[in-house]
Amino acid sequence: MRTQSKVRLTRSGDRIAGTMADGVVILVPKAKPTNVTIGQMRTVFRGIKREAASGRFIEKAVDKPFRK
Amino acid sequence: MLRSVDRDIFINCPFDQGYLPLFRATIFTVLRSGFTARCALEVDDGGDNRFSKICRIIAECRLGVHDISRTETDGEPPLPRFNMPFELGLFLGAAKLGGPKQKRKQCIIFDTERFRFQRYISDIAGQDIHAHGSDPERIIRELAGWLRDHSGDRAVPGGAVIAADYQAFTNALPAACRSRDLDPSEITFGDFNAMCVGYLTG
Repeated sequence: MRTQSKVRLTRSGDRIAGTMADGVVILVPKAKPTNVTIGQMRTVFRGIKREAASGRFIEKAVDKPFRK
Repeated sequence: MLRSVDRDIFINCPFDQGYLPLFRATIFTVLRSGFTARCALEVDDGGDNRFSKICRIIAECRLGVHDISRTETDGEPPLPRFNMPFELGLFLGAAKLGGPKQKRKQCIIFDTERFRFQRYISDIAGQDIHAHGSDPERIIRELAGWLRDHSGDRAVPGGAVIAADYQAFTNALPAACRSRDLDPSEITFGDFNAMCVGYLTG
């Protein structure tokens, strides 16, 4: 049975997205995404990091403007 | 520990293609340092005019990152854009004339060269003005040091660590876009924030 994950908050009420290895708390952004979710991107980047660690090539990024 | 409102940072900078590498580096640095990035791109509410939206975001942010480097003229007849100096003025005005909460505002101001502003906006002399030289790594290093001072959190890393993290993130970004069938031109401000947070916490 699926249960809703508990949202973690800082003492000041900010929503916590995660904590870095160095202890910095990463907060959930106020800006709402339209094409992706943080959960999706977390899964995607985990896979990319795993592939990079195993030696698979990652191409260089090309900057494109934000849609306004 | 800073209060909730103190984690929001108002980003006042150009949103065009030429500035994009610096804009993205700024957002990543803000998020990696444990803050949240706020700017006029964050909401698409037709009922909220742009000026009201900017005023509301400025009122909610204690810290501000302003870039007044875009002084070039554009279009026909060639004219410069005044949005960034205008929003800097709003921020400084709120800090100077607002209530106790607004008076706590602090900001960092970027230009391409440190003392160039004296030729076109000399009234801001005495503010905390830094040069980025149009270099994303330099803006990361300058901003990270400033954020570290204002975070009250000794865990916040310095610019060298964040610049290395950002390089790894930008290398992974095209593959991430492809995996979501997302053209890089379709990435909104909200999407980029989610991508940064997904990368940092993934």
